[in-house]
Amino acid sequence: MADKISNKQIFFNPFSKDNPVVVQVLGICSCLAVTAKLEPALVMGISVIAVLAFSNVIISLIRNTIPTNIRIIVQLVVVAALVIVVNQLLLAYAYDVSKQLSVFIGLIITNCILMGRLEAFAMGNKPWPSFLDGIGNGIGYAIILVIVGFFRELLGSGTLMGFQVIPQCFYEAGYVNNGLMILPPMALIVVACIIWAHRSWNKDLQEK
Amino acid sequence: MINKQSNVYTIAYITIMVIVVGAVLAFTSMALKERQEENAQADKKSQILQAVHIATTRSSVIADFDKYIVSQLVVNDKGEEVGSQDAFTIDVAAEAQKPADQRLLPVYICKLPDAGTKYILPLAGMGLWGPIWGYVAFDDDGSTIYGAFFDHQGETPGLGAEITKPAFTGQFPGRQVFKGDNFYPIEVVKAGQKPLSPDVDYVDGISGGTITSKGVGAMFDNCLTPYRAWLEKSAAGKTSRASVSVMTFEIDTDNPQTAFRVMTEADTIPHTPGEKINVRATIAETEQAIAGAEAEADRNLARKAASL
Repeated sequence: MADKISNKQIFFNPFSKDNPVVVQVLGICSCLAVTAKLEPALVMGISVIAVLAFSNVIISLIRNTIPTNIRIIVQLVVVAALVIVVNQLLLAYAYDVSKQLSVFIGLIITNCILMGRLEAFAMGNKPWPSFLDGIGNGIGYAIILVIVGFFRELLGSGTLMGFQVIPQCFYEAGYVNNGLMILPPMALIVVACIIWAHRSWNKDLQEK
Repeated sequence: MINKQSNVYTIAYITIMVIVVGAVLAFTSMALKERQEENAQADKKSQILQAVHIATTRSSVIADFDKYIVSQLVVNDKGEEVGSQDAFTIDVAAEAQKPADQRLLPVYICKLPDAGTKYILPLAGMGLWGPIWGYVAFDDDGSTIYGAFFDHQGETPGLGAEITKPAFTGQFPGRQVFKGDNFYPIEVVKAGQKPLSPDVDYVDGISGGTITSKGVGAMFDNCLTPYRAWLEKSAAGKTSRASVSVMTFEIDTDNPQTAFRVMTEADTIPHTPGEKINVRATIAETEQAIAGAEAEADRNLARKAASL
């Protein structure tokens, strides 16, 4: 890329204007799988931030040595190795979190955002901007996950982070949890609503 | 400058990368193995204690386990103790795959200061996406469930994963596996429905988590059935098991026509075997007792007639 983008833009753009989920529509599968509850959504978000930042840095460091015809394989190996290391560390030092996370390991490796950022950014930029890009995109992804998880858990189970937030008197008055919110299709519908709200806000993202 | 597009470079690059990555992963695994195993064991201990409603923390779990679990034994499906292996190290998931008569069945005996002796039995089965497992604690009558704990590897959050929640596990305490002389591991049915056989104690499954719920039912059936002999043996000599209903019958031996009144109660009434008024009986036994009483009444009548 010829036009110079400042580090600040690299970091902040993915939050909204260049958000990986609602603008680039990447990482939808994991968005669907882990957002029935807020807690796994949060854990998944944090893990993706960590893996994305470090894989971006590593790929950026070795970018000039990678043979172009096997670059996707090299990127995959780096991501997979990092995810395994992170999982091993969690197993040793945060066992309960790792029990939450272990299911989603496969999802992190195959998350399109990771491959997308490695290929589009880290392969052509220095380590520091790559690190910021990884953190920024990870946060952009995590924000959407947490928003979706928030609505799905609140409306689907009446809880947040496992704590009951809808008071018992509501249920006694006839309120019923919306079971549809827990089912996967609602993740897509909630994401679509977020995209709708986001594009109404940012008029320049609207397509003619 | 090396030609980065050449095959030699590519192969060399990949070889080095695989060796480096392999070494890093092997090192991480070796360095952390001990801690991970400790965590896994502590986690298992805390799961066992949760079946008897004891919540522990990572720092206190080992001390709590040693305090409450007074002994561990391994039994076979005939109810005999086999002393070949430490109960804690048995891989329950692997045992559950074997035919019932070849299984090693671990039993954890727990003494609670306020609730007495409990038997904790491990369970293992399959949910929708992967393994599920659990621990179920029985009262010392060998039939009444005191508590249950379930966990899973990857059931859907909000659906199948709800088996770990108190809303599901809380249904188990008080259910009984022995009904008269029959053994029925607890059934899991669709919420609002009843099992085919009216005798069986059941719990409601989870809406939207049908396959996981069925997995729990299958796990109870597969894992508890081999324990039947041991549970029967361990309960012998203690307060007799409650049956499906306690038949209370009074028989006026002089007047067989209005001779009996049968009352059924769903609740457990503790009683000692041989007690006169409350007799643990199946319907067949009750009928037999009534027939016997009627026969005796007939004999009394005959005697009266003879004496006249």
